[in-house]
Amino acid sequence: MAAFSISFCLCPVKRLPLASRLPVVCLAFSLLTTIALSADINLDVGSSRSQVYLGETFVLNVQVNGADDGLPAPDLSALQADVRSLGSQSTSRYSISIINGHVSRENVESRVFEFEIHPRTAGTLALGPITLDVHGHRYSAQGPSVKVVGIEQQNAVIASVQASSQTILVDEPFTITLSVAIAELPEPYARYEPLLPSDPLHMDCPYLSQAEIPGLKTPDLQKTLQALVQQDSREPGLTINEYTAQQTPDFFANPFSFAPGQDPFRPRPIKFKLPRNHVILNRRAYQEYTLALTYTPSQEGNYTFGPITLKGSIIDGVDAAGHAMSRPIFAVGPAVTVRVTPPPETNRPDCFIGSVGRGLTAHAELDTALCKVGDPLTLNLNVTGAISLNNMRPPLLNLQPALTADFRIYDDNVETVSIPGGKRFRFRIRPMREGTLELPPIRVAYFDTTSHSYKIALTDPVPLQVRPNTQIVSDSSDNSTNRSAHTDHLTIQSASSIPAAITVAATGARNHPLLPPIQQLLLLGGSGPVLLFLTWTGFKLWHNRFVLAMAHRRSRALAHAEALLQKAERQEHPNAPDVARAIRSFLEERLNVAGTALTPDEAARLLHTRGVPEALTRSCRDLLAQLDHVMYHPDAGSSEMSGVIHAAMELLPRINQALNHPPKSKEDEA
Amino acid sequence: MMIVFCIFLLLLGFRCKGHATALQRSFRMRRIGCFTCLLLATCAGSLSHADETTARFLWDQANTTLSSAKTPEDYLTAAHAYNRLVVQEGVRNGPLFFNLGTALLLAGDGNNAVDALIRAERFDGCTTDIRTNLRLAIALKSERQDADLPWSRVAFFWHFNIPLRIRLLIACGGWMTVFIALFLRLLANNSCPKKTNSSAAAGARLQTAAGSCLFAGVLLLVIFGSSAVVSLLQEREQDKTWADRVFVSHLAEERGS
Repeated sequence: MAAFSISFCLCPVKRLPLASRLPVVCLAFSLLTTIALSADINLDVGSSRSQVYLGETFVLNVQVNGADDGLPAPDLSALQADVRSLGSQSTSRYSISIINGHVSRENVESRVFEFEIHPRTAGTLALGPITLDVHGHRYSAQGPSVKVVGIEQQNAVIASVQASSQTILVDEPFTITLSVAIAELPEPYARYEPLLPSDPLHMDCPYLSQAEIPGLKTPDLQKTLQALVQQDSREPGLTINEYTAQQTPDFFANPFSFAPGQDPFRPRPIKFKLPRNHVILNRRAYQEYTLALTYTPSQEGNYTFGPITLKGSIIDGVDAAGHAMSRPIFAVGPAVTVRVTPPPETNRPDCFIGSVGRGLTAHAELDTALCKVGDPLTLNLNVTGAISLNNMRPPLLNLQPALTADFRIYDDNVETVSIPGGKRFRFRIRPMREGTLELPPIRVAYFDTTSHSYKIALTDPVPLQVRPNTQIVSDSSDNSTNRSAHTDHLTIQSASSIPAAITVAATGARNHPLLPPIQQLLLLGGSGPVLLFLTWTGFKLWHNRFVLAMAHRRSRALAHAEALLQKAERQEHPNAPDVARAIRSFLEERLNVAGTALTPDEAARLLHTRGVPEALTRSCRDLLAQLDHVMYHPDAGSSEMSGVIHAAMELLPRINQALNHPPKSKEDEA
Repeated sequence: MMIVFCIFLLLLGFRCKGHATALQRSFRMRRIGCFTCLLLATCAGSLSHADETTARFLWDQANTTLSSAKTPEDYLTAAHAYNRLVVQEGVRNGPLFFNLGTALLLAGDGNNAVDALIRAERFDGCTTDIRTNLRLAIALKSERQDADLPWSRVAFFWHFNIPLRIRLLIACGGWMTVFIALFLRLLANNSCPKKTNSSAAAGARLQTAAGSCLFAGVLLLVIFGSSAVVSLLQEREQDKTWADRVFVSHLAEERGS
């Protein structure tokens, strides 16, 4: 993709001129920069199921590797299914390990978006292409395909798997209820179970065979199912999965209990008698068999329960003779997915300790009530309640300004001890000033599963008396033998002999420039000279303004005169006064003479005094005289005027040049 | 990144065939230079975050080591942890040198403690904590129970009490004041060509103000400029040789002997 884009840009660059190539090159730069910045982004698409029945939903995970903050949701509009966003979670991580002084870092940025997919039709559902637009670039990925199996519509058996909550938190228990509703027999047989004792309905339910599910605390399945085993083989029941039992044939009780040709010692499916109750579904009476199991998640993730399939025969009526009429049935109960998510990121307080639950209480105590300034104290913070302990971490007390006002807290060296119903965090703190202080209430936040919001528990304030720091030292020498002999000579040394405490502020890890920013220095250092130079220049220009104006007038005299002459030449009948005015204005501006009424003789004299050669002086005088003559003889032809104008246009540059470079000696003039 | 770089080289026209003119070659080289700068800036931007996190990690680790230290050897270990931030990560700031100096003081290395605390002083000025620890470090260096700070620190209080960056800014302010004085003098000389009484008085006032400004500016420039230059030279010299320093715990040696 990158190669294509760049070669596309390259072709026109070669053919364009330099000025036109710059924007193209800039575009290529920006393109390359964008590619370089976003080259590591890719999408991983995963599905919680590979096969679903029509009507079921599954969870689609789209993991964006290489970016985290500010990501838009991926576009799933290409999927032939109903899509519901379940939110996203950051999975970025950064780790540093130092082994023998060698520092190695690992920085992984990623975010996982979750969607609930509900296929519309049976067949193979292609999960893609899934696209994501980041910084003007589009990334796409193709996920796996999911097989959607259609099932025959019937209402004699309705199977389902339901969760008490589909989105829960870690350590929050939830219940999965399996339900098989079978249409009731008509009266007067309604009280009988619609199941055939000899041909039990078989239920295939994968999660009832999983004694352990990673990330979940599962109930004791063996014990639960053992209690549901139908002891009497003549009673109706359901067989579940591959649960079988080796049964010894009881020839004495029932010599015909096995069919001819069958192995009497072959393991037989166990019949289970699930709790049964009467329900009305869709205005029809059903007998519902249920099995509820309670799970407790210990890790975040998606957990799918089901689907369940039912295969076998049920009784759907009774004939006139009172014989049961059976009907083969195949039913599918859609699966349910439970998402175990972390507490929401929004409104999460700084003092959140990672626990989820309810009724958290916090209690703080110091190991002493009397100390000196700078003494290390132990602060025990006991956190208890009906809360999860796996993710519990000590709160960052340095983020609570009320605590750091009078105490220096060492957050980095916290001991954690388990206590009944909670944990104890042991901090080291130092009082920073003397007096009767109070350790302010410590804020401890947790996520309350009852109200589904963050709640903050506060400890009671702890009083503490802090005395000024003094140290008793011996006057005697350091000789240990003498020390004991002079213990009566004691002085109290000032607290200032104790080193001041270190600082643990985070600014210590950042680079602080020793010098001010270069912009500030340039501004302060350069503004003075620049201001002075501008002022001096302004004054100089003001003082020499007349000289400058005259010089400017002189420099543009020739151009001005030529413009006037050209204007006069363009007229159909050139006007002699205009031509004369052009020549006189040239002389006036060039020779710096006031007025515009120079006579030919005056003009010649002025030119002569400025060192203009005699021939040019004479030509100028003659030209002016000729113009004066024409001015008073209007019958003179336009052809004559045209000649005068051409002569003037030739003469004026020569005069101008002669005025610019006056001859140095008579020889030069000659 | 390498693929992108290679493709870019292709874009720049590294063609083997044909002869490019001098102008084309010059333009190509300019483009390569631009792209290299862009590439380096991009790499630097992506690495800065990681460096900052590493520095924060090392800083926390050093603080933990120092706060839990009990013996001179422990303090020396903490000092080495702080020094790793200085030497390996290139971090320079007042709190870091203060903690390093305090760790060295507690470890018993008076010479290096004094130098570290003086470096902290250049960043943050002489705070109460720095003054206390510096006094103790000087006492340790001179192998006495207690010591006073040198008299020069009182006489040249501005040099020690004010951070270097502030001194430099004040010197720049003095420099600017000198030019303001020259500006006022220029204004006084040019603004009153008519020698009337009022204009003469205004000119005299401007001249007086210019003189005052010139005096103040030169004074600030000389005092704070020289102080800043001295500090800069000292800092440069110490920074150059800091990595070669060997921290020794004299207290541990004494205890061992």
